[in-house]
Amino acid sequence: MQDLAIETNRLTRRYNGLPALNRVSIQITSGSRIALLGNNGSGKTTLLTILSTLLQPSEGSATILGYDVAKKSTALRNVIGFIRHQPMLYENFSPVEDLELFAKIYRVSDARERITRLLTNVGIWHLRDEAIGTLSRGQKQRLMIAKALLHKPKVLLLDEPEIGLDQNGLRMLDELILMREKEDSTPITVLAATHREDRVATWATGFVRLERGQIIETTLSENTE
Amino acid sequence: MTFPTQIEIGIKLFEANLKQAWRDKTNWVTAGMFAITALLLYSFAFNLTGGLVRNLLPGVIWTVFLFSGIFATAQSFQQDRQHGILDALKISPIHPMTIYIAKTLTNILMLLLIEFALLLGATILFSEPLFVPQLLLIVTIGTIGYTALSTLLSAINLDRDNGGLLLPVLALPLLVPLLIASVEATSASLQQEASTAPWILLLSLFTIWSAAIATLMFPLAD
Repeated sequence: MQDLAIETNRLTRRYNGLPALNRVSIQITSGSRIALLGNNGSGKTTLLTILSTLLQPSEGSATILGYDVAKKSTALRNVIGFIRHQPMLYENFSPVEDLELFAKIYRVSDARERITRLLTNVGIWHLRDEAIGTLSRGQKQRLMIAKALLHKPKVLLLDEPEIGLDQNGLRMLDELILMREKEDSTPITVLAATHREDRVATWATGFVRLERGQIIETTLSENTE
Repeated sequence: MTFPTQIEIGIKLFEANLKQAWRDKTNWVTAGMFAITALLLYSFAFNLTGGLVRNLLPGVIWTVFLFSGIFATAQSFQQDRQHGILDALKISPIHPMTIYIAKTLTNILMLLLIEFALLLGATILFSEPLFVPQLLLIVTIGTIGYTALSTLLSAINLDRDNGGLLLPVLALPLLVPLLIASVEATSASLQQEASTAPWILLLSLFTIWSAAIATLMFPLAD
């Protein structure tokens, strides 16, 4: 059996008693690229937010590379990268300043070189000294992609990463994240929520479809424990 | 992540917070303007001459410091939350206590700058020597105490729509002992008759208590 990167077991999250995520059990093997599909309010963001350690599950459990998500350990946080709807950026910093701070936090050894390479790869090196607040939504999204890859995570959690990206941006996203990370041969496990079902076939190795917090269709083997 | 590493990251975060506060001065300019206006109003409202000034100044000073401090710290984490920075930090390997300490130190430093400037202004307005080492020490200890608590409460209020309003309601009752000790220590220092040591000791104890409790509580604030 292949190594599991992400495993959830009857994962449930309720808001005011109503389940946003209802007993979701999935197993994702290392190196897989899984599309998380479903309408608005189907539980995609809730699942990704729990896996990112930002939200506690009401019931059930989840592990990433064997680390329990609920324990929020440093080791776990070092192996995940997260891009969500809204940017997570210092608006009055420049892209380089923002990335330098997080390179320190993640103890990235070759920070300067890596920041240069990532900003070049996402196509915003020429904006490196501009205030982030002045960048467009698409440019911020490119910066978020660079930030998520900064510490070479083994698992990427992406919540609608295509938001704001033009055609070039989408190609870059495919190259850097969804297909492979250019400068690193280590396979990354990707779980990406998306509404762009037309693009899924180009990058995904499998999918999970959610509706009202429950899995209604998947190519993955469900965890039945 | 080891303790020295957390300290190193905490220093970087503190620097980043200072840079952020310097570039977006909204909270601090508002707090500073409020403090200047309040001080001017007090100076015109009361005829603070002769011995009377020494009786009233401790109350005047700490009322101005407290409300300008609450103005400034109420929005401590608001901008970080709006721009997703707080979430970016929460999913990083940084310990929540490090996030809190870096933010509190930023608030303390910015408030002390405002307060020391006000003490200089008050020295001129009231013709009283207020920029003296003992008073600066009392102001520093008192500021550490109330900022520690109000920074924590601003984090607790983050997800509430009326968080800014709720902060003074929550903070003021908790700060009463600390404020009494601050006012009494300031009064004793200005009168130059009574010994300030017991009040400074009490103030220090409250400050240590509020800083320790707030640091330990912050990881549970979310």
